[in-house]
Amino acid sequence: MVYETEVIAMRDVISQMMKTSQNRLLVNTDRVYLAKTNLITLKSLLEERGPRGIFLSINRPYHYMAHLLRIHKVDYEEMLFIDAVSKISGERKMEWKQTTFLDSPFQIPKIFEDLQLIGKTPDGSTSIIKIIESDFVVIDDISAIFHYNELGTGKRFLKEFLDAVASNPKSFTAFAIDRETQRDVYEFLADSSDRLVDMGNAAFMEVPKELEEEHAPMARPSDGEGGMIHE
Amino acid sequence: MNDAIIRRSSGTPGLDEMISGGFPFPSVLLVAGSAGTGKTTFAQKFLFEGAKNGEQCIFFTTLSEPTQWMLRFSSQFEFVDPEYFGREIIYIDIGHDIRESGPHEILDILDEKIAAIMPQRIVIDPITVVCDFIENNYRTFLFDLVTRLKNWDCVTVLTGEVAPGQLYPPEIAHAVDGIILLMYSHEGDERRKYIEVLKMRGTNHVTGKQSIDITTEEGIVVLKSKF
Repeated sequence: MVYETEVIAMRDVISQMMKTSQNRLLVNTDRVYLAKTNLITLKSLLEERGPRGIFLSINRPYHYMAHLLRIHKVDYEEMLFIDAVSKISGERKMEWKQTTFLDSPFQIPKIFEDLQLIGKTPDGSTSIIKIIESDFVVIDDISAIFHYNELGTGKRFLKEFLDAVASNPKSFTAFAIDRETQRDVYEFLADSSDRLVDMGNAAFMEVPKELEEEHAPMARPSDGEGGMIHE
Repeated sequence: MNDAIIRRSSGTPGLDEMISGGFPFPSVLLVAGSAGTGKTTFAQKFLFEGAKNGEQCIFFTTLSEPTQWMLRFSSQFEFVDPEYFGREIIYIDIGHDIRESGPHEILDILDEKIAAIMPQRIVIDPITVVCDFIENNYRTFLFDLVTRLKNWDCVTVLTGEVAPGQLYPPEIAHAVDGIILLMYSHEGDERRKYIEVLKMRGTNHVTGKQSIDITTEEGIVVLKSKF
């Protein structure tokens, strides 16, 4: 299994949070390792929280994360993808049965407002998806919300969403963001989060909230898998 | 809106200062030039710069020369640290796949490798030879390739051979985020080397030809004096 150490550590944090009724996790990661961090987070959540999570894809079409999950042997059979970019991405890929496509990322505030949406899958069936009642919600990537919204607007609906999660002990969110390049948004999210984790360049470190200010991220590659490959 | 562009160092001394601090992340860049202008050296230095910072890198070699020979020559550069081979920098020879597969299969093969390794930096050296094998669908292939590479969340350098009198391969140029030219110029009896940033999206960049040198310590170095 890839990134086993990080997944074990992340699962441990999630497990501790569940025991103490905490459900809002914030992960700091170098932007260039965001995909790796999201993969580790998703695998941990699927194993610890349950299979019926929601992955909201804003930055790139959902199938990239689905592909990563498949290649890295993570079971995502019951996970729901909400894809806000495929329709404007110029890509045509096979559609996963549990994917709901938004017309554009500008529809995202509406989702946060209602905390539910009418799901429409490729086979044509529809259902009401209650975001707050899923096993978890992960957004890829949270900072992309601010590409399509003013800072104040983005913050407002994220705050409302995090407050809604806090008041519903059955729900769980994990957001990953680069503190160095998005310090303002990071600090705003940190205020509304229960636990902070520092992945740096995908190496794991938990940060006590009270020590967060002085903490510097780890600077070490997470693992050395690979080797010379000749086809 | 909040659109701060994240940048990664090119690894080439003097170039980052010409492009607002480094290559945009994610992006796909074309480094074009005729034979011997330093394209592969540029690409290698780009990867070793990433490896030095703990980034994961892939070097896809197509059909220019076997990896063995490319590594033998590049190992003369002092920046080439064998410690990174097979760890931070993975070399993958896709020459056979290009010969035997169609465009969709080639894209799927690249997807599989990239998803497995999850690199922050990729080189495809050179991309232009792929044209010979998928002539009819080359533009579509390039569009799909560049789209996918950007969505894999990394900085990719494609190297491109140019024909005499040609500045860059035109089919690729429209699809990429940035174009860097490496070129020769005759001055009297001397043949001098230059670099020029022709295009770099989202970046204030220096225009015009800049003199370069190729050193064993650093590979390509942009010289201070302007042409």
